[in-house]
Amino acid sequence: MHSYFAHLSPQHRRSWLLVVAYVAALLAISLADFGANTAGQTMFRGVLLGMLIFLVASGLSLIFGLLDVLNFAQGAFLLIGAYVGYDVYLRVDGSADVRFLAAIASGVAFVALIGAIMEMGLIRPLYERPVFQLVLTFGLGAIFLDLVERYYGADPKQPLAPPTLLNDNFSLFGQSLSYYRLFIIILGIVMMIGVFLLLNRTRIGIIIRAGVQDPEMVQALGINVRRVFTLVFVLGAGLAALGGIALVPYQGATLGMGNQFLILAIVVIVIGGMGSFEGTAIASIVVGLTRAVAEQLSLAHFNAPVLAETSVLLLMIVVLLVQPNGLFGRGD
Amino acid sequence: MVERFVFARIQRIPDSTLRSLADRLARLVLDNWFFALAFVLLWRFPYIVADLSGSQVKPSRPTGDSAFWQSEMARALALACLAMSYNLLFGFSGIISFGHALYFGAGGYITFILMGHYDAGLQHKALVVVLLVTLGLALFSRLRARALVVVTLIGVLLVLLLLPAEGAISFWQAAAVALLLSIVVSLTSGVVTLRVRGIYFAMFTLALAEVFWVLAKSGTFRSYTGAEDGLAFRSLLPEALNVTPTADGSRLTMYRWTVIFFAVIFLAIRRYMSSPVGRVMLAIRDNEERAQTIGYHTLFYKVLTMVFAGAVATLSGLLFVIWATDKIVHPDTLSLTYTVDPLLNTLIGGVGTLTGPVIATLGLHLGETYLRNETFTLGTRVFGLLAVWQLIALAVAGALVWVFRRSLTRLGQRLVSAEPRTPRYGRLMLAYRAGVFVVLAAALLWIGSQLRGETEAVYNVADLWDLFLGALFVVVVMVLPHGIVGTWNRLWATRRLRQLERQMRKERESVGTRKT
Repeated sequence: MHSYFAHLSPQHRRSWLLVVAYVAALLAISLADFGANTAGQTMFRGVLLGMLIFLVASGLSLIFGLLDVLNFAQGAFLLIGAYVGYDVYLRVDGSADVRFLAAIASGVAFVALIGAIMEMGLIRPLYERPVFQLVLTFGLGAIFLDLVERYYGADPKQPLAPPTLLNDNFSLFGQSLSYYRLFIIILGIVMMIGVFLLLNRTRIGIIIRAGVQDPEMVQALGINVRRVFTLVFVLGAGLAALGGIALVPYQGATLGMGNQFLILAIVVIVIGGMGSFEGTAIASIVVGLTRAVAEQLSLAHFNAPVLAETSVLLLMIVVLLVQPNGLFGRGD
Repeated sequence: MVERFVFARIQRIPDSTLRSLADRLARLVLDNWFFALAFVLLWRFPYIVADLSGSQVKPSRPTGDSAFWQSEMARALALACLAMSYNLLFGFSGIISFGHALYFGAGGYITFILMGHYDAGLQHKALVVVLLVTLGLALFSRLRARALVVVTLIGVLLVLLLLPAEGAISFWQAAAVALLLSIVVSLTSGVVTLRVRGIYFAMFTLALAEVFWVLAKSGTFRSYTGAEDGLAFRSLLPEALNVTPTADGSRLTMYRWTVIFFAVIFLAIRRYMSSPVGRVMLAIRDNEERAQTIGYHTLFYKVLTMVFAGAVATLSGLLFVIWATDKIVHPDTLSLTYTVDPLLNTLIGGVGTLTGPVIATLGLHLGETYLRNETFTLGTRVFGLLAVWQLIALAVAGALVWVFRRSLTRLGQRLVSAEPRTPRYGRLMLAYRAGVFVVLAAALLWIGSQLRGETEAVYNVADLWDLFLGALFVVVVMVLPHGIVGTWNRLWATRRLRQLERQMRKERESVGTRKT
């Protein structure tokens, strides 16, 4: 960790300072405004939201970094994951734990399969026409949304019971919270560390990072980059699906959640810098906290959720204007 | 033939002024015969439908086919205007916006919110805003004094004209305000975001439109927007624009105005693209850095095009809303649907062609309406031989073979042990591919026949429309990147080129023989 900070570029060091100052400011505002307990709850909610956003955004960022494809279907992956997981949960017999695990496994596998077919069959022939790639993923996202609506109906699905192991409550900041929320946060952290280790400590990670820098050179070194592309696409899709299924016991499944998280993920990778993993991780938490604090603020003072809806976008606009490449982006 | 029947007669006109006038007119019509014909067809469309269906053009009750198709055609024309404005960005300028629905929805919302909640104090507020903007421009921009004065005067004049100091605001004034607001929004968001890379711009527009959609749906502004239920405007709409099909033919009149609106927008976009500004836009689309190096301020041209496209989208959105049967501005007009729809139509019709988006929109919208009104079940025989589900199975088999053609080829080379570029390779692979297709299709047909019993009653073609549209979209993106009209134009151009080449060769040969 020490060496990480020692080798930071001046711009990234400035970004770190900015992020720390911003989070401290959010904390100070919420402490001053809501008191310690509510502030703590708000922060907890923010981190929780940040982890969920991270699951979608990390895939978006990885895919963009390596393949140069902005995958607008990422929100649809989350949506499909959630609905398929929900479906499987209801169909499988057994205890809540077994059903939950089955939901996770089948949802992630199904979406990963869709991702693999999409990458190999549709996106691969279009690497020469990047604009059409963009349009294709966007259109596919809309089609997936349509299919889910057709197959599962437009009514929102009620939250499911979390697995028995996590069905307990614990007390934090004077509020009793379900262990399931803690589970989502831990899941997010585990995925964060997992992807970090995958990128930094494995052979495939080295190839991915090299591919982000220069795919043609990697190809020239005798590595099948196309296969790595597919792998990363599948990984991104699977992460989004995982996020979707994790959401189901927490707030149910609605048709709007795909696009909602896609927008948040887009904000995250704009703020964090496209293709930068650390940027995505940090910006996810920043965006989650911003959203939670804005929600709490508007609830306390304005009686309007407008601030919460727009706060994140305003943050993105500010970053886009000040630093178009994002806080931790490559300086191109 | 044209020479003999038209121009020869024009030449015989004695009066010279009249002759040149007639000559010009004839040339104008003949050069644009396609558009002239299309306009006449659109104009006569209610009568054509009436003749075909035996209904009345001006029915006394809203039951006749003609009246129904009048409103459908009008809605399709409004959507075609939207698609053309999207094409202006995507096809002619290379700007990818995923938030075009924002402008489309803004037309209806701004106009009718203003009409419903107008208070006369708005004029003063608007004047203050204009003066503040002037102050800001004077301090922070490098506008010259004269330009500043002109801008301020125009602003004040517009405010005085469009926002009455007392009484209610009229529909036209409100529509003009909506137009102006959309121009302001596209101007500011364009100046702010068009500097960044295209992908950031796409994301920014998507987020912006999504936020406004959420705002329109949220209960916070229920008194203004009507939240999820939408904004009902039946009481606000002036009588002249009401399209209830009564015997006096108000719907027919409105339909004609819609056709005129469409024609004006079409001609304006055509004119814009052939103007010097449009040429610069094409240069920017092909290579922005080159255009910059030549010395064009590319941001200016891009923002200008975005403003134009946004304004057209606003107007067509207003028109679309007026034609809605329930007289409600629904929040869906701001949703992703109305970004995907023009995008799809532009792609299918042909990116960067004038007529492509229009043809695709009209075809798809009218086709969808037709199919939704008829009921075909999956078991319906289509060509007397095949049922709908059989067609779908065949299409899926074909798509699968096409999508996996590379891996299939590799597999096939091993299976039939054929080396590329050997004499029998082509025939062997063709037979192999046909075999794979037949096996796959047979398998799918079998599965379909097993499923048929339970699916027949549930699905019909209208339900499958979205799926069809999705499949069409994917096929067009993968196989026909130039769209229908674009591909047609290319084929036509290639043919013309061949003809010219043949002609030149013939001429060269004849010259050669004469020499020897």
